[in-house]
Amino acid sequence: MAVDALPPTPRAAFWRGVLVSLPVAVGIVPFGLVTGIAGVKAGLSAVEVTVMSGLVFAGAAQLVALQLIGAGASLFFVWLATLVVNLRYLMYSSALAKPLEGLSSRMKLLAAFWMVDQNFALALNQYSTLGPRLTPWFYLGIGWVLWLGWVACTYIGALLGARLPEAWSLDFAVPLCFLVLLVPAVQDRPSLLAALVGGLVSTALIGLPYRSGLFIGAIAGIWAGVWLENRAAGRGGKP
Amino acid sequence: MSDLELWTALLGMTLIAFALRYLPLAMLERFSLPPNLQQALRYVPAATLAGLVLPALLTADGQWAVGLDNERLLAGIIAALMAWRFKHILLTLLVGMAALWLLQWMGV
Repeated sequence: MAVDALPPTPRAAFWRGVLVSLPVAVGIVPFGLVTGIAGVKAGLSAVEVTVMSGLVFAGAAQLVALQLIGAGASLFFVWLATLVVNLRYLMYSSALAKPLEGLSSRMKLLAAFWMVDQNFALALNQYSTLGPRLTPWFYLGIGWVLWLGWVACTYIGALLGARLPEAWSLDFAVPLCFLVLLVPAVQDRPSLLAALVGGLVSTALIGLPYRSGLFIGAIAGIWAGVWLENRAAGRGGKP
Repeated sequence: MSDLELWTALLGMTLIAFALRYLPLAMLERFSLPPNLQQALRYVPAATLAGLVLPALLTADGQWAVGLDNERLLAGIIAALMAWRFKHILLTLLVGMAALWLLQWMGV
């Protein structure tokens, strides 16, 4: 990252965020396109899936919800899946409370609305350099670009989606998008165990209606990760 | 899903996604999450994302399909190696899809 001098003002920090986010935004293009395509396949119009992207702004949750909507699931299961897949935002939001505490209450609404994996990671990473005055605006600059890009790519994907043939197996792009998010989440042995248990339990319960196995798998995986971390800590070893 | 149901679904999703992002940000100035909960939350991404990936790779038509005849599993392993090595979303997608097409074409 080409960070030479500190941005002098919050406004400059915002534009620094915009600049830093551009290469990151290239990464969300295919994810957004896949979401737009998935929306059309699930029976939504291009406008409906684009509005969904603008309001919900959570790729993984949207893809799961679209699969469920396409399968005719009830509202309860769509909402349950949204809750489970987005639980990680509780962690992001807790970690960002300190770096973003300089924002007014109104700007915190916007900061929450634009919170995604990318600006969480970058803002936390830059907090020690940018400090409490500049970090929030750097974070908002990233969020603004990613939100615009996300909405635009969803719309383009939805326009394309109707023309793409089934034989291309494009539904496979959905788990591939999740895979790109999963790999950096596995950082040590407890998180590897959490992934293995969570993944295998969800797979074993694939027969349950409307992906409710995802919920049980997540709880089992979290429990396994915590168990291994505590066990390693109890022996004085490194997790 | 009817139009009314769809918009209700979207509205509910919007509120759920927003609440999870907003509540800690707005409230943690006054108190912090209990350490046990913080520890558990650290494993949420790995556990839930794996719950989305593995069923798509390890099953076919709702049944376990662990074998060399499962093209999606093989293509997924190749894509996982790409994601791990290069951490690049577009490259992972392209290689994963190309691997699937190639395997399907070869009729493995």
